[in-house]
Amino acid sequence: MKRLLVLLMCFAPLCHAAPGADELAGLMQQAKSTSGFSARMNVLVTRPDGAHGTPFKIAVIGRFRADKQQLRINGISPDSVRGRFFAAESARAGEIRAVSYRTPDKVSGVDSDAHLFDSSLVLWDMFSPWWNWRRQALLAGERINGRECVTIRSSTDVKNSTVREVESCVDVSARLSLRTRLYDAHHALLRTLVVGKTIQKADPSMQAAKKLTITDAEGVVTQVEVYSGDEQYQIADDAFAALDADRDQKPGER
Amino acid sequence: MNLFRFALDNLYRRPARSGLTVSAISLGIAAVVALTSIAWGFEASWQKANDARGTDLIVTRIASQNSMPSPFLAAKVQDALGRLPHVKEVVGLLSEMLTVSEEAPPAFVFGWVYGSYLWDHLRLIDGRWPADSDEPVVMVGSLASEILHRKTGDQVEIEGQVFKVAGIFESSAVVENGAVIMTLNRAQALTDKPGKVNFLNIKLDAGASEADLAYIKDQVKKTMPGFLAITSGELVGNNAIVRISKAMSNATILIATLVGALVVFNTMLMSINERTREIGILLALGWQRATIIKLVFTEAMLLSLLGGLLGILLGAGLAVGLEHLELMRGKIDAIFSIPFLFAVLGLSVLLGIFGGLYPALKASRLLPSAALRHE
Repeated sequence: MKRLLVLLMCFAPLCHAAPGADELAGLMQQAKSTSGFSARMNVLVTRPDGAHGTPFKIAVIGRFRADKQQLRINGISPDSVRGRFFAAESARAGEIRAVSYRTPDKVSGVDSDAHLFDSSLVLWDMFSPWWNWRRQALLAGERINGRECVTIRSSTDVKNSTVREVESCVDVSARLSLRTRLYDAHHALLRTLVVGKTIQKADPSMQAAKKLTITDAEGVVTQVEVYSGDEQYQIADDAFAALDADRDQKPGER
Repeated sequence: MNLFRFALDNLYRRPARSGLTVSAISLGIAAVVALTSIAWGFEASWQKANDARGTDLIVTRIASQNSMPSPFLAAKVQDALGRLPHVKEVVGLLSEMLTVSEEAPPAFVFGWVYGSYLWDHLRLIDGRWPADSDEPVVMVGSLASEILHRKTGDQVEIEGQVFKVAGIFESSAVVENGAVIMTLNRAQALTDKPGKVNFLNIKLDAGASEADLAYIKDQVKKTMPGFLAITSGELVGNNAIVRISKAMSNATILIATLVGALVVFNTMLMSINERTREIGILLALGWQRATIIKLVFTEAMLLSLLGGLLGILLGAGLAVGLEHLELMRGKIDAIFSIPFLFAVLGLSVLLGIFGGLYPALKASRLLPSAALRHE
């Protein structure tokens, strides 16, 4: 009995050190925080029948502050995606506003749930707004690709949200979700995002996804590989001008 | 019949087993030779590139585990570096691995400051150099020109932008021969990294000594937090790919040694067991126990030496073949040094010694009377 007590005392600090659901969600929220980043990615889409789409390259820039989060995605190559821009922002309230354009003066609103470039890439997912949701619950631990992770379930009742529940298996030390499953209001699986390869961030305790596979409900598989990036990207003043232009436009002009 | 001939005949008598043992050893040795020569070649090629440029010191962000240091604003430290004693020139370099042709694997794309000393070591084979820092042209290395099927006047598309090939160059470093070079301004615009570089290259004046080099390193450490001044050798040594390939080659040496020794051990032990009566007869005929040990050792050494020789040839062929593989061309430059090849041969001899030690002792300890009764 005495030995058991000693053993329990030894493990007590470890138990205490493991973050709770809300704390973990907060850590993930913090890990997203950046004054500017850029990443370039190769994207390959595979249809359910096994047919591959033409690989394409995109560039993503963004900044994630506590009060406002902004992202801009543009196609680099080939011609079919080149010059196509998507910009989106999410304010503290959590609503995501997105636009698409070729030139910043001619923007049109888009649904943040829309699939980009006919792939499984979704703007909404890129903001990972579920870490802001009020309901967070810890589930069992798992191993994904040989790495330990803790599953955390985030859920919301917000009616206009297509995704109502998200299960993320988080590698706590790397502050990275190794697998993210997104469900709708009927608990039907919408998409699964699995990190295949990671890269260390400038803060050596944190990692970012280098290779990511997104599988949607229709069986479309999108493989994303980051080939270039900058964690201290300086966002130009006019980088998100299209969002301002959209805000200034009268509804009839859109 | 001498001992060597006797041992050789013993191996000939069991061609399948001898052949399999030699094959197993040669495969292990081939892996050692190929991986080590590629790891050394990779390291040497990068060092050669930096040395050929005439760079004395490289300033970069304190290295992460990533293969290429993350970009930083050159202006942050460039002026301060220029004011350090004996510093003649400080020039930025931006480097990315990018797709230059859909038919070819990604290539290194370097951005060098226009008119800086970095260009001086390149030899123009065809065409011309960029006319100014903003001209949208690229220079293509001789090997890259072959791989990408591009010549002077052709166009290449990089990151969705079209560049004209202004000329073809040749460098003493294979890494540069397989690369595409443009001016730093163009590279920064192309990769959306305005004002940023991966490295600042420092060229010192002729009067600089080792002590001056150490002083500059120390000053960078003290006055530029987050930055590091290192020599090209140190930079290459810190490179994650170099470290991984060296670790892989060391692991292969260890595994090959263990497996090779076990294979020889197994072969010789089985051979001894099968030849118990024969050894008994030899002992009864007056053979010394030392002669039996010598016989077993000679057989083990012959197997491992032959395996080693074949392995060296196979490994060299493998490395040269990989060098010419479309995916690897211009990225590796395997190095085979004579001392290393002798060391590998020495390793194979060691395999024979370790693998043959116990079987030789076992054979020598046989009692002729017991051995002759053996069925």
